[in-house]
Amino acid sequence: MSQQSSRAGGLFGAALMSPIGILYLCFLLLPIGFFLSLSFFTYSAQQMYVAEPTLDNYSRLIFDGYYRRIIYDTIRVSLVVTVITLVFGYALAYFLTRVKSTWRGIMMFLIIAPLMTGVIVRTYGWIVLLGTDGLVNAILVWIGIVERPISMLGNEKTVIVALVHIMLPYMVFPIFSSLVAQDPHLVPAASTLGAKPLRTFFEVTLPLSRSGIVMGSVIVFTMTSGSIVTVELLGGRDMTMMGQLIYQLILSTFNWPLGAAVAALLVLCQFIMISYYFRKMRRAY
Amino acid sequence: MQLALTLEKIVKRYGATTALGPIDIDVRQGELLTLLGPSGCGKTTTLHIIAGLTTPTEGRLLLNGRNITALAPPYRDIGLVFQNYALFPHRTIAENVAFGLRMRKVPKAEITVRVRAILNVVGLPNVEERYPNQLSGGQRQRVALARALVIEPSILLLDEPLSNLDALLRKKMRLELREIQQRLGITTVFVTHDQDEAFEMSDRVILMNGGHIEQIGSPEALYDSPQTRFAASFIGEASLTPCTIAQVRGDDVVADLGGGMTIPAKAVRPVDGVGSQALLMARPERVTLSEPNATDALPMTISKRVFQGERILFELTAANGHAFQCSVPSIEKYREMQPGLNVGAVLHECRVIPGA
Amino acid sequence: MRTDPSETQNVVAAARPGRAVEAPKVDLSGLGRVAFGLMITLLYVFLLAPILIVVFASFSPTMSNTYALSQASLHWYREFIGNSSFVSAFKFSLLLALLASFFATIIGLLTSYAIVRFLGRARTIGQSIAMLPMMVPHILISLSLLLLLTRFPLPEMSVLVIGHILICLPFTIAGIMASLEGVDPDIEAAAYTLGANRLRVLWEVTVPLVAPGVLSAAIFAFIISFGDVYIALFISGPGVTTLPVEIFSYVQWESSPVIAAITTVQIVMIILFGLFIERLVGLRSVMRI
Repeated sequence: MSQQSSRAGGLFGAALMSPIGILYLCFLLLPIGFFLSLSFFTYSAQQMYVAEPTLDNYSRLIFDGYYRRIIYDTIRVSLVVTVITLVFGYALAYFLTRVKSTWRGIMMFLIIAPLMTGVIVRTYGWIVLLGTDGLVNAILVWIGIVERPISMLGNEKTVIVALVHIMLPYMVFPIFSSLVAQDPHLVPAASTLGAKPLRTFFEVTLPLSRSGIVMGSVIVFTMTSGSIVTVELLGGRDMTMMGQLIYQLILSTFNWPLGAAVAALLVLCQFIMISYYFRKMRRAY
Repeated sequence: MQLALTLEKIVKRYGATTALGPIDIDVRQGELLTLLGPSGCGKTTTLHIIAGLTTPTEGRLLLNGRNITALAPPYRDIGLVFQNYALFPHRTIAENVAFGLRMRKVPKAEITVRVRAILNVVGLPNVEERYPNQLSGGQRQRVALARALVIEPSILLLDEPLSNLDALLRKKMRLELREIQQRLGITTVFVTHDQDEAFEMSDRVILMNGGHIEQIGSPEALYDSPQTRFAASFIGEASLTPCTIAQVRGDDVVADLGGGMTIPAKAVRPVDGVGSQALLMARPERVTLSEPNATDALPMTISKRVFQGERILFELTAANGHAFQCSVPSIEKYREMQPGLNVGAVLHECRVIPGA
Repeated sequence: MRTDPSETQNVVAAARPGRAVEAPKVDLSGLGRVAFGLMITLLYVFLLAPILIVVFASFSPTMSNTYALSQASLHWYREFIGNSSFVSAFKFSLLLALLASFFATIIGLLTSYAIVRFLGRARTIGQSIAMLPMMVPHILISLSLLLLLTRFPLPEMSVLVIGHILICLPFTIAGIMASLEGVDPDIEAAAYTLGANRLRVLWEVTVPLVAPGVLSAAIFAFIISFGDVYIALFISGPGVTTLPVEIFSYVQWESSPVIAAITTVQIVMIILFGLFIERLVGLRSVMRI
């Protein structure tokens, strides 16, 4: 038997964490830091960037109306999607806690299944559904609301609808977790104290599910503001969001510094959003 | 007496708070030593430190003279039985018991023989191929014991092993566990919060409280001569009354309870002299009742009566306001006694705890 | 007494559907109930319609997405199988998802074991760090890895696999942690005191007990990886790319039911996997974000 220290527990834990530590450090944190730092460098058509510090990229984004518009649209659409998803996601999460246990598995599966198909399949689904030869147009014509199929693709509302669809599962599950974690005796307790059902919901259940709301909102806002595929395929020519802008800047014009600046602003928006949410949450307890 | 295990000035701190110690414990070869105390007293921490599952902040552990303080559990040569048995649910009983032998690279043939032998010792033949969930609580307990014993550890640790059994089985297992321990002659440290278990099974008992040792001794010594107020109140029932020492002759003393009430008693250790403060302990079952004016009897009034089935518990109040418990057999003579009745009480074999 | 396997499994699948999950209940009035029920029904229709319509469109006999059911055909499936670029993208996605889910599961197992057993008070921090890729937009991960590729001579495939491991990790960690929490630490301590070193405890005791959870996490990671478009969008070069990227570049120019056929194959695969997980530990255990 070798002499092995029983203090090695911490060491073993560190060893277990080392693969993910190395992975996150080398392939997540450092590259992202490097990429974002490019935003302070000067663009060069020949060599990606020149290491000359500048704030030009940011001033261009802030003062150029074209870019400002995109940033504004991104934040607006992401907020709208987050809020709609929150309302619907909360309803679904609440429903999942109340549905009979024999049905809960299938009901959860039906919410997770769309998520598992991936972004592209769901976006394509909306193209098929809303296309001029799609089901929705067929129904509208059949009912007689419109005479000929109308074009429903290529506008912001469609993008928002599809994004809500794509993001919904990400909102449902964090909220569901926070609902299930609540002490089930609280609601009866509130009602014995004389609170009516809706009042109980707003004064007890909702505040206690804040952690789920924050988690879900952060994920949904992050993913929405960074989305490319859905906006590109459903938004048409007139609509551009920051994700697409980065995509175009880097893959078409190879302007890494400006692309990085857009990404940095995107991260900044999320950071503001997250810290706002966390402040709200802290105030609650 | 040869020592199997020594704990030297063991301290466990979590940040700024001291959870345990410093404590010193000597475990003698072949004895069953019990760590007794209320929850949070440090008994389980002590056991985990012996097992190596918790690292002490300070102090040394010697197992058969070898310093094992820094040794990880797999290399310690100890057998630990958990409160919830902690059997491997995915392994058969034979595989569970064989686990430690496999880790020690014992040849397969020998493993089979030893597993069978130890299962016979714990009285569980013919369960080798079953899984833990197919056994009853008592059977699982025996498997856990067999699993710890089969590796022939230098020391066996039992962490409240009986607390998950029902009352009847618990009583039966106490005797059986003790019988197996004595037959194998294995040095054992037993942790419990149940004093009946401690009394019935142990060679020696260590009473712990608040991370410290209150008293070490045989079960009789603990019951007869508690050294501290905590020991007197935690173990058995006792009426504790503050008193002043009126006379001293060796360890025979007379305690003055005020109001002209004096009681002869034995000091559990030398008193500081006449006039010093002490605590008088009277065990309820050592109080006898007689006529109010009987000689040597103290006049008291029954203030409360609790019928307990085989015994009756009276609360007696003396003229000076002190109350004493009195436990008597549930016989006709006592059944008729009701609160308000004046009686004479004789407090036999009282103890005086100096300075407490 | 948590020592019997059936109980342990139940603990492992802590919130397995079919077991009562206690949650706050608010009794609504009759009208409120109907309105709530209607809303939930519509939400399910909303969630599922775009998926079901794709399955429907895949059997179209023509370019149109709507047709009479009697005309259903497998035309577009034949088209898919005959299209070498789609088939090779499908195979490539399978390979990528296999590699990514394998590594994400191994790393996720080690990480979640460390978080559950060794982090102590730092546990919340460890958990939040583990969830990092979920908090960062995937295009940022993807672009940063692309940048890494331009600066260092790394094989493209390895970076692509790493990107997919990154996006799968939050799911595998959360899923496996849920399983690990159901394992009584005393069972591990018992093996430890009986002479098994820490690695052996993990391998001989813990892993067998959480095997269903680990397998489910692996499958879920496979699905997430298979469906992801963002990582490969930037990293994979022309010719060799994943199915979602291939579909994306195709749909940018035209929409044909061949895409519906391909995605239907994917949907069927996912449903089978999903039902398998549901049987194994319950979907709830893998969806622990």
